[in-house]
Amino acid sequence: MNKMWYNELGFHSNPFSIKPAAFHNELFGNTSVIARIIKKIKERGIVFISGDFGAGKTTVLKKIIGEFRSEDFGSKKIIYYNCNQGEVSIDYDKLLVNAGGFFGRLFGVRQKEMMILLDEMQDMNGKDLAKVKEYYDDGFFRSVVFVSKLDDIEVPKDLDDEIGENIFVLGDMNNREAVLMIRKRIGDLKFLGDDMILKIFKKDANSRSFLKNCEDVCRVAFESGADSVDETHVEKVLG
Amino acid sequence: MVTQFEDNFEYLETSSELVGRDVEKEEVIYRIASGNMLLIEGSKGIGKTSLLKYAIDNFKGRGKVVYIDVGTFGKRLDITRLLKNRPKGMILLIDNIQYLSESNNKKIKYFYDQDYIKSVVFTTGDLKAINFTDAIRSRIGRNVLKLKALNKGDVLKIARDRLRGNFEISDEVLNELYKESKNLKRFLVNCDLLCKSLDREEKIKAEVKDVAKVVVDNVFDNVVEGCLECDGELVNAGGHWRCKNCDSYCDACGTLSDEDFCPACGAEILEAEDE
Repeated sequence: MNKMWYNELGFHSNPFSIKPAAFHNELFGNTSVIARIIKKIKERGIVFISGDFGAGKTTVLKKIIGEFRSEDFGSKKIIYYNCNQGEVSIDYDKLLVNAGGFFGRLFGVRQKEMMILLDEMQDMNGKDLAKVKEYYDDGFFRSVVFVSKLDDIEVPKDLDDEIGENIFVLGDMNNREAVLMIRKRIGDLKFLGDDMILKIFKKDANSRSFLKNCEDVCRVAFESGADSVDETHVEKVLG
Repeated sequence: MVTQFEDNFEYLETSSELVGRDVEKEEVIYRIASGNMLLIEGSKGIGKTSLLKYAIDNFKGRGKVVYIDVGTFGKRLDITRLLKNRPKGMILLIDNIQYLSESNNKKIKYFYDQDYIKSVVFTTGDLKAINFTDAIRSRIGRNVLKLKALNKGDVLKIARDRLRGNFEISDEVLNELYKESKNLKRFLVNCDLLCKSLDREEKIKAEVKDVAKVVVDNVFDNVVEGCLECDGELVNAGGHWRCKNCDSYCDACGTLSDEDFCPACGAEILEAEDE
């Protein structure tokens, strides 16, 4: 098979991958929001995060997991659940038992004081939502993080009261963060200069679109035989 | 798990070589290798599945390619079960996505984000008929490959490359056959039928008038005049044209049989009125 442009530039795989799992320890933009989220979770409580497609919701969750793993909190205290997995309703008891590892499962003990991250919560049904509050009140969950692409989700009244002000909306990155994000992935590769990164970013500031655009521009530039990306390549792809 | 879609021609060589699709081939391979989602759009018989087949040939042997025809799976398709116990980094090739359910949409998105699925290639005959969720749509983005019909030169070359036997088929005849065929797939079927008819008539050289004899259209598009034997009225039974006078057939499914009851579906057989 032919070598891809990124192989030729020295990368093993596509450096502009849009998968949140691919570069889980990096996060650009929304830094102050994330700091506030993390502070709130540490204090215990229920938090609601929303953001548009490709704004980096799942990436933020990965960041939170990473943050708590590195502290004394302990990774065993975190449950990540993606509501897209397709099961009809969420079996919290099973999640709590499994979180206890081998002995937890052996004795069927439900862990207490857990942190639960519920991704794609717009797909949760009302029953599951109501249960979250029960488990929270019973002390099984010390903190709950809801992540949703919609910001107007109807939640039961008591849950809504508990969330209160803890609603965080993820926005786009700023210019500096956009350049940093790309630099983190491709290093100081001369092929794609900062000015061109910004030009691409200006076309569409959504993180996912931005990455996809960078990929396509670099590919076109490389395949045209150019030494580096210039305006004509950007215009050709995103014009 | 992989459905067979091998061409089944008597007089044409099977070939996985795609003529006139260099740009498209490169795009498919690139999008798969770089971990993207790609949508291939093109009308019936234009070569969407052939492109998928080309992708399989390129990535097979790594045990990581899954081809799914959603049309044949229907509602039973469950992406989670399909991917159970498989390694990370699978490549999913999904044919006929107009039948893909919303829950499978979500599962594909989830497994893609978690890198259980490395890349996905979807195909469809009709962009309007797709019910992608916005999440999938946003991941596909600009990666839409529109297949256009091949030019005539390429189509004729494909037929030339694949024809076997010692038939003499002139460019004029092939041209005529091409004109009468709606798409590449139908054209190849017609080539095969032409050879069959030459063989039957023990001829070597094909003439333009032979074309009319073999050109098949959709049975349902075709106005059937009457029975070839008795010129009597024809009846459409289960998609087959039958003659009330000459044929003994099942009214329900059209199966021809001399039994009292249909061996295929069990319904009563109508006896030919002439007998």
